[in-house]
Amino acid sequence: MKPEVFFLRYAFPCAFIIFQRKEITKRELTELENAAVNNVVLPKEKLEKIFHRAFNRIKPIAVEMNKDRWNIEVIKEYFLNRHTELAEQGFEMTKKVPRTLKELCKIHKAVITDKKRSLFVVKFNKSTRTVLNSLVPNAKIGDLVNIHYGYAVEIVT
Amino acid sequence: MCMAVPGKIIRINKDMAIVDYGKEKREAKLVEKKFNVGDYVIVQNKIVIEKVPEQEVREWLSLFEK
Repeated sequence: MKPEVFFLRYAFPCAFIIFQRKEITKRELTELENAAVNNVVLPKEKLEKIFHRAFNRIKPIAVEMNKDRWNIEVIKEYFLNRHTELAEQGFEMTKKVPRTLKELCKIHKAVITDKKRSLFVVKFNKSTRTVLNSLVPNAKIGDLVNIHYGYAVEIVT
Repeated sequence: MCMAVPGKIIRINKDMAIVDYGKEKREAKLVEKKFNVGDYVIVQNKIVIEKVPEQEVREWLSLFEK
């Protein structure tokens, strides 16, 4: 998978927050969703501009790993290993971040317990959540998926 | 419009909820049975995805104030 595609799959669910901050339009949000669902390679410059907060966090990881910020290992390290701790710290927000928002922003490994049309109910820790299946339409009940906000992002083992 | 802030469920009709955001009300689909009238919830793509404790609602709203 190309790093731009991997990045967008994991970053897209947070675009709702960027939209709420009025930094992107409804049309741009829909374009991002379509690109994520269809594995479209968007220009790196565009992704860096929209998700500039993520890249501010990715850049030091790239330096630490002595790799380019678009190296797939760097992007994976950010989303799969560092992102949860950064979310727990409230990212760089100066105001108090509500607990539920922190949990939605974290990437959780969850098991699919039910499937209804385009939706999965997933279980993780002691919680359940309803998520959209558009990024992993072939996932089945019992599969383990990474979830981010209201989306199942990737099937994992 | 998508909402990244909590709204309150004011009515449930089968698997659809009416969610009140103060200035507007929106319809959203319910899949899980854990949601009740009076709950504050987060909706994504017209799906109710998560419950928000009432004491957190003010924090959510203040986070997105300019």
